[in-house]
Amino acid sequence: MVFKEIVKEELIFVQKSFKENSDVIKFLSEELRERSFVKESFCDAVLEREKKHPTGLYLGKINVAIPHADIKYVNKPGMAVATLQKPISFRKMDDPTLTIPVHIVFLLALVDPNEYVKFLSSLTRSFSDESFISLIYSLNDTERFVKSIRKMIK
Amino acid sequence: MLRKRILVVCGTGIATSTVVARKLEEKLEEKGIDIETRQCKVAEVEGMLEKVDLIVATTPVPDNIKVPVVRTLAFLTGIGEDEAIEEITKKLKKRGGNE
Repeated sequence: MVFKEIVKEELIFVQKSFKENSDVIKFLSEELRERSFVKESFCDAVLEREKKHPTGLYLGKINVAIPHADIKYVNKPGMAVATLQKPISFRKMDDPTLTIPVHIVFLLALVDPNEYVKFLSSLTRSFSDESFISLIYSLNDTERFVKSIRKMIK
Repeated sequence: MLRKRILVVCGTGIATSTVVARKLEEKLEEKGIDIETRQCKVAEVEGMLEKVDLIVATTPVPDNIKVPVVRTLAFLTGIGEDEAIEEITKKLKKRGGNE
């Protein structure tokens, strides 16, 4: 599996508005479920995991969250992404007593543990590139979004 | 320094801790420090401490643990990586080696 196939334009949603982080997770999970990427139970599994082990990552100006669930809830690999018009609070992975404003949510649905690690490693490596993160947050065009991210995480 | 054992801890002990473990191996090898990593989820930490020199965690671990802990997301986000490596190196040197 090449990463190109995990990043799909139909799963990129830009400049969305939500009230709470659970709303983003529900929305993205539903998009994955409609296209048979994940099982019905995926959404609850992600929400449950996020409660126990939150995934907000503080990067500085633009922050991200990487909610995910066990591979048993996934049918085929994909990643649903939402950029948020107004940042939404997520709790921090390294300190769940704190919340941070999150601008981009990457909902990961992966099936193979090895691929999971490679993809996550590649994705998170891109987080240290502030100009890349700022760029994708500013994009209104899903095609360009996909191109940029594919270029970055090949 | 003799080979050090690092326990890498994350929420579920699968993907995140593996990413961190590979990065640690790579970075510490560059510094000439020989390490061995093991991974677990945070709920399992207490049973995994035998012969562990240091814990590197992406999430809070219980306070009562006797092994030094470095809690950092640097190996996930790439932010503050050098500082984290420095802290880890310092703590490992303090521990001496495994006999």
